[in-house]
Amino acid sequence: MSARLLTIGVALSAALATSTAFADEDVWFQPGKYDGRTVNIVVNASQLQPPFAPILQELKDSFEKASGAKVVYNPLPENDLYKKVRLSIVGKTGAYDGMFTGAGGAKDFGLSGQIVPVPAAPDIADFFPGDVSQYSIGDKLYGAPLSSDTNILYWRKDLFEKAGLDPNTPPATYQEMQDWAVKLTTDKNGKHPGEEGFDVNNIDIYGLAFKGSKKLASTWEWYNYLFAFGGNVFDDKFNVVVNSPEAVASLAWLTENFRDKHVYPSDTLSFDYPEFNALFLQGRVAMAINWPFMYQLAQDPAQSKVVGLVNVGRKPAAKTHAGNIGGWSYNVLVDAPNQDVALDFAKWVQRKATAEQVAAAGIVPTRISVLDSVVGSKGDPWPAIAANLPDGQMVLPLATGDSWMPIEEVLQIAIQESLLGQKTPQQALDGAAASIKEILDRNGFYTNILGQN
Amino acid sequence: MTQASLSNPQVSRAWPQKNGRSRLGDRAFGFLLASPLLVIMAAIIAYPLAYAVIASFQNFRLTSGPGTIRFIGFDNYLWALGDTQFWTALRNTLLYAGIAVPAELALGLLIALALRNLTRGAGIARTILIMPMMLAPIAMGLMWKFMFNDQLGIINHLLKLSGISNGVLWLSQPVTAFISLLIVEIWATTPIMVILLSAGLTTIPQELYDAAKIDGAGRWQRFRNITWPLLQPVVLVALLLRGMDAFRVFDIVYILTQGGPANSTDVLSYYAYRLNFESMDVGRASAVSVMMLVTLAAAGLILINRMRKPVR
Repeated sequence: MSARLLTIGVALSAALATSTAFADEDVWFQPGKYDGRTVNIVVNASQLQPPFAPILQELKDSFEKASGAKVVYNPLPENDLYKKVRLSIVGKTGAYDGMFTGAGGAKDFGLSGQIVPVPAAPDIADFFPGDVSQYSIGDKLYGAPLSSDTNILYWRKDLFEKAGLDPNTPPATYQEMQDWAVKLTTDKNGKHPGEEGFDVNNIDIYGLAFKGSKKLASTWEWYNYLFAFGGNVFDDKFNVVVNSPEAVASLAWLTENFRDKHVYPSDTLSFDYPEFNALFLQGRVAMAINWPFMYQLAQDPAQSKVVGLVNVGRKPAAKTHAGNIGGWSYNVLVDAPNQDVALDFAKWVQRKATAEQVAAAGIVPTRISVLDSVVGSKGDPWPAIAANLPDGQMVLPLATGDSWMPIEEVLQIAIQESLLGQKTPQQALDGAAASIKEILDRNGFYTNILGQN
Repeated sequence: MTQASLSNPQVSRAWPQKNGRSRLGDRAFGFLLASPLLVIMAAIIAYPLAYAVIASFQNFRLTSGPGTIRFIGFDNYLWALGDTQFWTALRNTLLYAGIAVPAELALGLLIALALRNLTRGAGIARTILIMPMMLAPIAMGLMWKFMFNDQLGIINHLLKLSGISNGVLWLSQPVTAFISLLIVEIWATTPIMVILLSAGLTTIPQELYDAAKIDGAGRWQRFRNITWPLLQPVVLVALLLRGMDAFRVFDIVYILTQGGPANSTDVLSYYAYRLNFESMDVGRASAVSVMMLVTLAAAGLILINRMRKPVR
């Protein structure tokens, strides 16, 4: 009897302790009462459309109900968002309290002193460390993680079968990927690159595609190859190493695909996301590396000719399987007129319910527990996402603050110079390395910013 | 009232003579009437201009902390002049304006002359012609971007269909990307030339042509000896306006090529924009902008002086 009582007592104590812990966490997420207050938040205009729209709507509705404050989303075009917000901060307009930024935003604005740290959830260990790291400066969190992201490998089952490849086995290495891309690239007469009579001007199916326009899409695809080949833009002391043999090898692989193997579309240099996605969805690309969002598009008969024909999985390896991570976070501006409300909204973004809403919308959640449950219960592309996320590396130029965008531009030009054959990959990256050093020196990165990271 | 009528003694007599004091009062009243406009102009033109000139001599960055902005003399100008991208952008800008504006003028003149001779449907033709001017630059740029698309664009589709070509890499190769920009520019702005030149053509008296015809002058002689000389003031105005516009081109480049591939279509406005909003270097961007202003002002002065010379 006493043993049974003891057992019940222990069980009750444990339950009480657990419920207290949960209650404490719930209390932490709850906002204060802000009746009559309005918080102005900048959002990427395209995120007011699906798949992000329901997430932002739920955040707004539930926060308004819990706090009494009114949430106003201010949509800005993605390419102008940073510039407009920065001008607003410099001009001390006080127009905005918070904003949602992509992977680079928290570091960029944080290192410039234009956003303030946000409170980190008590269960921050449940968030992917890569996400927490890319939104942190030192030990302070500057971006409340909203969504995570990783590139995955897409391939066409039907085209693999036709080329005599196993439709359920993706290429394991980048060399294999290039070899298979040659097999899969087919002109109107059914010939492949290297074969007698192959018509480079009339290619029906491209083995691969690359986003080669002078935009972020270009560098953010290349980082996957750069990291996998063992290269990086900086070493761990932020010395510029973008012209290392590994980095050169990654650009040489890309250039070879385009110039020698003809496995990329001939107008690759004008490819941004819309062109890249459109060509894949039209069924003219056999393999692609892209963010997971394209999987949903590929399953939509209204815009895809490859419904049910696409497999997704882990990216190939060169030296490693590494790739870059992306994502979105919520930030609070340094001059926010309603900073208290905006900071409470940052807590709200970090609720488990938000991560669940993110996953329900088909976007990669930032909480490990939520991703685990989704991978266990849903099909593609979640296993592919889970397979690639651990390979994710932060894009280090993000940590250079306001040097980030100029560095991206330098690298985009280097990629284009190499693809055009104006420079060898080595020459292009040597030039990029020199320009990056000049940018960092000019912006006082090594003297003013490096210590904060 | 013209200067001639004011100096006419009969006209002058009709007005009461004013003493120096009332003239001063008139001047003050005139100044008072103009003062709101002067204040607005000072606010929207003079102040930003002065600010840009001052910023061009400072190490001013958008992320500069308080108290860190200082005077650095001509460093920003010297940096720009030492930057290869600046010279690429300048060369491209001069080429762009140098090709686009004469082409627009030639095309505009041809269309304006054709419209003058059109007896029916001239109104409809003019309306259709000015449609490109009604399009927002962003919409226009996006429309052309899709038309230039190698795989999906209508232009390559038609080229392939007609057997003329297997398709052109419009935006992916340096030379064709530049040509693409010129095509859009000429398409979008030739209507302005047409409107200006059509207005100029209406001011040429028909009697001159009739007299020339009686004297046996052919079409080419009438154009060479009547139309072209009398149209010159309008042509100079059109060149001045369009030249300045083309030199400052931004939107078409921003949407179609972003200065690529590999900076082959970079122009000065886009270069200054990137310095300001991507590098956040207001000082350097201002230096480039001031240099653009000085270049345009010099070219404008030359053209304006030319306009003052009487038509012979």
